[in-house]
Amino acid sequence: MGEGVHSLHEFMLRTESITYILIAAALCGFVFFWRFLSERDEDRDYLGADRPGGEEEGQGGAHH
Amino acid sequence: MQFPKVTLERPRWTPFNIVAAIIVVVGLVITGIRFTQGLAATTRLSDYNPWGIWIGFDLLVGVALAAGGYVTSAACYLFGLKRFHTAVRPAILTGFLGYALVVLALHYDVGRPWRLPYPFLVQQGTTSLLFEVAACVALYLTVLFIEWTPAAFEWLGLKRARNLVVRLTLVLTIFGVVLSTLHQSSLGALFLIAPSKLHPLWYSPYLALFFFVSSIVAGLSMVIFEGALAHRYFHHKMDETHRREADGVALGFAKAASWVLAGYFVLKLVGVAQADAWHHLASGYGAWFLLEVVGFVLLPCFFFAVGAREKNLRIVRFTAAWAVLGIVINRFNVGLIAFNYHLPAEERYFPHWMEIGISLFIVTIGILAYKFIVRHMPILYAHPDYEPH
Amino acid sequence: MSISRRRFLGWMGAAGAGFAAAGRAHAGSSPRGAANPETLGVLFDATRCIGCRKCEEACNRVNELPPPERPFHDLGVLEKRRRTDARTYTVVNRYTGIEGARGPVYRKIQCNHCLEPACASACFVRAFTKNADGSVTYDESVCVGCRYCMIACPFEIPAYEYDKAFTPRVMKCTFCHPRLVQGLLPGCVEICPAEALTFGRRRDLLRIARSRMAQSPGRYLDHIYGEFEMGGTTWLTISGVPFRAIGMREDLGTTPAPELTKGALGVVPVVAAMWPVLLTGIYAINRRRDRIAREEREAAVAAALARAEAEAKKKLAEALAKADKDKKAAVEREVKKALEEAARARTEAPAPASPEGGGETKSG
Repeated sequence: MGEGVHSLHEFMLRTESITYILIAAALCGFVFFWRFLSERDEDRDYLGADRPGGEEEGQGGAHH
Repeated sequence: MQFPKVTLERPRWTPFNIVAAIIVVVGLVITGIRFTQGLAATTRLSDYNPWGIWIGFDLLVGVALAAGGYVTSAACYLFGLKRFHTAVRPAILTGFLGYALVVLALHYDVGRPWRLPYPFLVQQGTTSLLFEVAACVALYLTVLFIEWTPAAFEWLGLKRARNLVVRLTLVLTIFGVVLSTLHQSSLGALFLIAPSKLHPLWYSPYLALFFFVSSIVAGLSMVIFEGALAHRYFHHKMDETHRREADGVALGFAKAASWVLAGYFVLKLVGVAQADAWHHLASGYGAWFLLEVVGFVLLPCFFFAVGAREKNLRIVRFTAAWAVLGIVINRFNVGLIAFNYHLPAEERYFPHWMEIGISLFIVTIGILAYKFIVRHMPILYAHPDYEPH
Repeated sequence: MSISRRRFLGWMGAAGAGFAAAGRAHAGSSPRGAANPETLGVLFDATRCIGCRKCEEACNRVNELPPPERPFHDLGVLEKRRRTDARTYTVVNRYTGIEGARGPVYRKIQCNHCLEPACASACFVRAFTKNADGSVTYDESVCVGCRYCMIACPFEIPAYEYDKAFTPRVMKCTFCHPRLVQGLLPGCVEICPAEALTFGRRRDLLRIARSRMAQSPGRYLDHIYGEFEMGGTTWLTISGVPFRAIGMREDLGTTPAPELTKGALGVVPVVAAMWPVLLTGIYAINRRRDRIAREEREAAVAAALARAEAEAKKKLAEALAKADKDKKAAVEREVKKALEEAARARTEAPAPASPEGGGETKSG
């Protein structure tokens, strides 16, 4: 059959397939990179280690 | 560990239950016909009209109206609007049920439903926007399922599993918003490939943006609308926090919906301007387009604003239903009414009663599942063992 | 200024040429319109077609399609406007009463085998293949039956076997690809008694069409339908009457199908890359703001407490000091009183002394 890329469709099939693989890798990569980025934060909350909605009610005033 | 007992009370023959029972029975019969005799026996689909209401309503409308899940969880967890926290679980539940039913409906519509995983497992048609839609819908259904499981785990008393999933909230929320953005918009972009078949007033390079922006409106309005229904029928199931926050959710979402609708209205005008389709406004389709854009975008925008300003819940709830209807009309227009506008009347599509039957059947299943889950699981109230979460 | 206007314009021209060259280079890597030069095709000449339906018959036979409801020699079916369907890959329609035409005009419909097939672009399982010979073929073994190809096709060619419950297929002309592979002509081309169908390389067909137009002035419209429509098709049509009058859309434009969806597909990776960044950013900003607000609240409370404590301490000290003073005064007073009494007693008579102490005012 035909050698080389002869149509925009074939070209896009190639570029889109690679793009989808990139996307999948990037999305996974983001998760780990964000962990790496926030791991040493003082409050140690990275990637939903606690449920963000709860903290407001949880902090019922200042106690030393 | 003790599993909760599901008490199946004897069904009471309320009018709702009678109607639901009839729809389910008829739906099962049609299901039998569909899967033994094919699409020709149950639909009015044709070679000119390959997509009917199972796509136009069940897929396009279904996905749009299930947008409440991503809208609410983004508002609460990402944008820090914690007063909306009690709205998240009901929205996630309806989103999950909505998507599950969309996928169920697709089994009726496609010719060989057992091949639905083919685009992922067998051969990937990556140039197709439908591939993107399929991938995102499949992934997002999974995300919604996981987001919903804490309620089921609390009900079943599986503490560790529940806590594990709750820790994933942020990742799941962000992933959900990404996937929703992609497939909500791509549903509109599906029609980009057919400029010669979709009426110029609806065809636009911005179709993807239209679908995405209007899905936010659909999500916000559905949360208000479902909230109103839940208040009416499940008030006894709600805890104090839920009841206290509910009005604030409705008013806040009404304000947001009004503002987004304002942007959407401008976008729709820009669409007409870019296509230079002004002269079409004077035709029959033009009148219908104006009805959609003025009657079901601009007016809901205004009434949401009035409702939010006056803190009038009646107006807000009424307008929510109105805006939802507007989304339904828009999806019908793009998928069915303005599609194939060039064909003579005798070649146009009108649904078979069995198609409508299946669509009703699927909506009914959704309502029944919602009722069951709300009755048994901590959706409208926080589980006492996990307060405050 | 040393730069003359002329020179400046010269530079601009050179820059323009540079851009143009870049554009060409780009077109080279993304092959728009770079169709396989060997692509085969068929030229349909509407001025020659006599509407005999022989092509329909041959198509039916070579493709082993189900027998028609009415036999192929029955020309009565031409009364009605027909289209391709699940049992028919090609049909001929008759168009009468066309302005400027001496009699009826016939037009054959079949898959045009686009250079950039919309069906292939739309299919999410790649069921359609654009073959090197130019044909667009369909693989039923992967088809899910979503029918998006039928939505996408601007020529409304693919049909579906709606009446099959278990093995419905999309049905469309294959350009007789299996026959081409064997070196045979497509069934319809082979049988056409009027030479309305010409088979050959697409670029040759374009030349043939032009030479027919040149040889018979006035016989044809100056347009080869399919040369540019939807990015070009391998099946081409020439006609003596407006294409619109023989049921062919003239408003399709020249944009190939993949170009129509390219923009939307291009947004996908942008959203996938930037949404997580933006959303996580918004989350982190909100969280930080919450934390700072909390810390400020805590600091304010602590400061207030410290201030209150300091004030309390001060008050206490004052109270103590005052109490001390009072006590001293009381003691002095008592002592004085006692001394006075003692003095008086000494003067009058001896009496017991009982000094009353100031109460313990010191308390916590």
